Amino acid sequence: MASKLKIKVNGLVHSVTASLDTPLLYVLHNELHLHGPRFGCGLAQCGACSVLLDGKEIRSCVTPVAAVSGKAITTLEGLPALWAKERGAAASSPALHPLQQAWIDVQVPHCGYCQNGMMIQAADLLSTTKNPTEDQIRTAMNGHLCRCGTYPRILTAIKQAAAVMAKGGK
Amino acid sequence: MTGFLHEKEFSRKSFLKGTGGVVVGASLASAGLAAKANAAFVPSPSTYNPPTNAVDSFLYVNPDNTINLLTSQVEIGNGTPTGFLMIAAEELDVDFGQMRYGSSVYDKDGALIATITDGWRAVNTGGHGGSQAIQSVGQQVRAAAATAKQQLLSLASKQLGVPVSSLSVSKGVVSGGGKSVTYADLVAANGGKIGGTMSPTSLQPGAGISKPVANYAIVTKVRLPREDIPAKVSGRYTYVHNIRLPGMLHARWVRPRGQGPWLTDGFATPLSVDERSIAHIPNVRVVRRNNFLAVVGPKEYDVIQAAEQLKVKWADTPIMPGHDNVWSYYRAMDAKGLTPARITANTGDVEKAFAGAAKVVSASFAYAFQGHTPIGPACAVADVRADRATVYCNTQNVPNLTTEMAQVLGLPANMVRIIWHEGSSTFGNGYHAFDIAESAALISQLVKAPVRLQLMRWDEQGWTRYGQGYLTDMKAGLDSKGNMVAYQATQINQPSTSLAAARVLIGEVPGTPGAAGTNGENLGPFYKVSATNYRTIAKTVTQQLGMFQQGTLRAPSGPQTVFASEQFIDMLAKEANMDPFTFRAQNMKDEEWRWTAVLKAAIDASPYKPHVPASQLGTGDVVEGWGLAIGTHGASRAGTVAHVEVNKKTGKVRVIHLYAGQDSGLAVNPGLIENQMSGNLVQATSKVLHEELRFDKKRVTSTDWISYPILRFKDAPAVTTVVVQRTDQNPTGSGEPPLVPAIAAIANAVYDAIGVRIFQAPITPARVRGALAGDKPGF
Repeated sequence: MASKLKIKVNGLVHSVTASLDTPLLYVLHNELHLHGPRFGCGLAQCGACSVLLDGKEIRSCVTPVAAVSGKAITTLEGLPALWAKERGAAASSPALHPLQQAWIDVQVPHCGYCQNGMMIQAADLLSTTKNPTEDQIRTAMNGHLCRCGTYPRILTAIKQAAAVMAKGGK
Repeated sequence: MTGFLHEKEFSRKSFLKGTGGVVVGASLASAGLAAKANAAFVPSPSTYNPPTNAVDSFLYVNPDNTINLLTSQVEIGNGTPTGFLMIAAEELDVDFGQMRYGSSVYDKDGALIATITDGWRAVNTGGHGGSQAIQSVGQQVRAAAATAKQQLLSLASKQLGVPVSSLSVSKGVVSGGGKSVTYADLVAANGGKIGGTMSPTSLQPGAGISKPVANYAIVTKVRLPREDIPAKVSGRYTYVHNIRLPGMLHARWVRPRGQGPWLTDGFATPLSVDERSIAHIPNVRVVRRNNFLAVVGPKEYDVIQAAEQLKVKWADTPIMPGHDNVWSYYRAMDAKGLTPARITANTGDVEKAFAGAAKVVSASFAYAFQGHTPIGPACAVADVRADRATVYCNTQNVPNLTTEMAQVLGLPANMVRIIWHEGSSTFGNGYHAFDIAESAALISQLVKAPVRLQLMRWDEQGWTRYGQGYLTDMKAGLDSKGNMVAYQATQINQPSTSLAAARVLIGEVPGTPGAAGTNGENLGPFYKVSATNYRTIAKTVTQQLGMFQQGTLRAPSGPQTVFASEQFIDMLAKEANMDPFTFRAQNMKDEEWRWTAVLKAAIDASPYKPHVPASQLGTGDVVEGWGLAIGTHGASRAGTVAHVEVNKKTGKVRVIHLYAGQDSGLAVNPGLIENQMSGNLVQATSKVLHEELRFDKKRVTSTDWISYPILRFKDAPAVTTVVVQRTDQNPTGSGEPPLVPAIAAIANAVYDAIGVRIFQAPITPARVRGALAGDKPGF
């Protein structure tokens, strides 16, 4: 049965109508029209659908929408504002999170379909581990699959973003 | 920053102000946006299929002096549109930033937010292939742009009263005699046309009227970032998965989890369908045409549930060999005379040369069936009406899909509008070629409403058109000095299946598949022996014996072939007691020096030390090795060096570092080529170590990422890429080459590490442990 729910996404509270067991992904895509989280497997195996739930990476394809009530969801589209908040610079928020900028600088994506989850997972990693080693990055990212072969460039981009963030975005 | 608008808050006004980037591509779909970006151009049935030799078919000058390039080529994650635009900008003397790709959507700041090729607007430059795009279509783009430049200069000469020889162009502004005029104004004054016919219709760099390569300011001079990446990392990009149409229903097809044998009842024949089994799911219904079965409804998750819960009894035809028995099955078919053989090359007297050789070496190699398996399962959105159809999809062949779709729907071709949007990279003709678009259109036709068909993971994994499994028998003779004097390769495989599954399921009868071929481009045609005593034989396992759908997969047949042919060269080098680079160089035809050079480029970029394979075995459980190989798909050349580590106890292979050189002639945007090479190397690691389609007697059983594992982040190799720039040569393909030799280089490095050859791909831990324990390959 469809229910009326309020969910907080990227700082805004949205009213949506969905059955309680509907995976969050379908609400984000079909009701809120967010294109960052993407359907990859529906099985929590690939990570294309990842979002941050109170700052921790989750798989929106298997998370019932009812389970996120009262919590803050951040999608790829919300990373710039998240970064601005972390720096206490809400007014002059940058167009992109340092991870997104690094993804452009390093020219990471090929088709780009999986990269949402890669950046979301990396944001989770860098929120707890400011200067990760290569092993820490590989371990943190291991649950995210890419078919185009971008893993080496993702590694480079995360290191670059970590360095930028350590300097407060300079 | 980008606005995040709920659909209800979204208004036309906010779109026009450029604040609704996330949702516009989906909510309004691309057609309206394309029309807006090019106010004067309205796609229609009469603009379908423009003449392929007219400049105006290729290029469209907008009032703001930006220029659209309108080929039927697409973005498949290779970044080739950026390359096409560079070629056009170079010849036209405009800034790269003035070029627009196809019918793509750009925001008010000129940033790309959706890549679009519109079948009602694109000139037919054929299907898109990663190794043919710049090589062949690039020539057409160059001819169109060079001819356009001539036309525009001629128009400017008349308008300014200045001879052409006294005119100069910068940023699309023609100047001379103290006056200037823009391309846009010239075209406006010429009835909206550039005018002119391309003759010839293709130009290599510097040829004919095209700009001399020495004068290039863009193509070889700048390393341009891809224009699709900013929107892809911000979430603003519109993939085909994001398209929404008013009144659109969601659909899932209903097929067994994993396809059964092609052209048998077991493929996907529903014996009974119990519609009551989904009666409790609101607003969802079953649609069916013969064996083609789907469910549709307004809510996507309801439709997913319905597809999952609909009770269907499927026919079984248990005649497939199963993945563990496929090679003995091939051998059994061959022994029964059920693999018709064709001699595809035969030079000299091979038997006599074998008889006279100092040493004769032979070996057999098996390479598993592998899948396209994009991270995003295929998706298409179709709106089929009585007299016309619009289909959003990511086919690699817009022109052919248009004519096929017209047949399927019973419409004239110009009433079918294919609007290409990017999907998830598939690396060849899996579903997205035809099946997903045709399936969506068939459902839309049945329900008389716009339909979005999205596959589930098990659909994508279990129903694509797989890259064929190959069995390859190699045999060669050596003289006493390490020269190949005789060479024979026999390949057993299965032919491609032509018709998309949806068409089979609605009852169309496909023609007989053609004969399978050998992959001659990787069977050493560059070695001297190919001109002396050389034979290749193709054997085809005929279609009725339990195959599934098969099609082209990145560098078609390349990985399967080099896993045999270039491992075999390594074996010959070992027999000759030579370093494998020295062996290849000695046996290389003089005129094929670019092959030797490209492998040398990879070696020079690496710490590789010349040695006879497996002559320096390490001690302990974890040992390292180095391997070399060359190979390609298409006209380019690639050489790779692999550095691996093997744990002899667990059998696990880890690729530490791959080094690749690539000679693709004149390299357009070398930075982009390096990125493609990098992706190829990582994907090769995945294919040769992990990927193997599983199937039993009834159907494919690889239906997710557990049953079809691919390379993970922890095991990704480091990569070093070297583009061998040859500005005196024509550009050749760059989307596929180093994938091919990397497969064999890794296998050779494993041998170098453990001193035991692995004859079967993928090289799994179990196979390594088995080989170390003395198991012999069972084929």
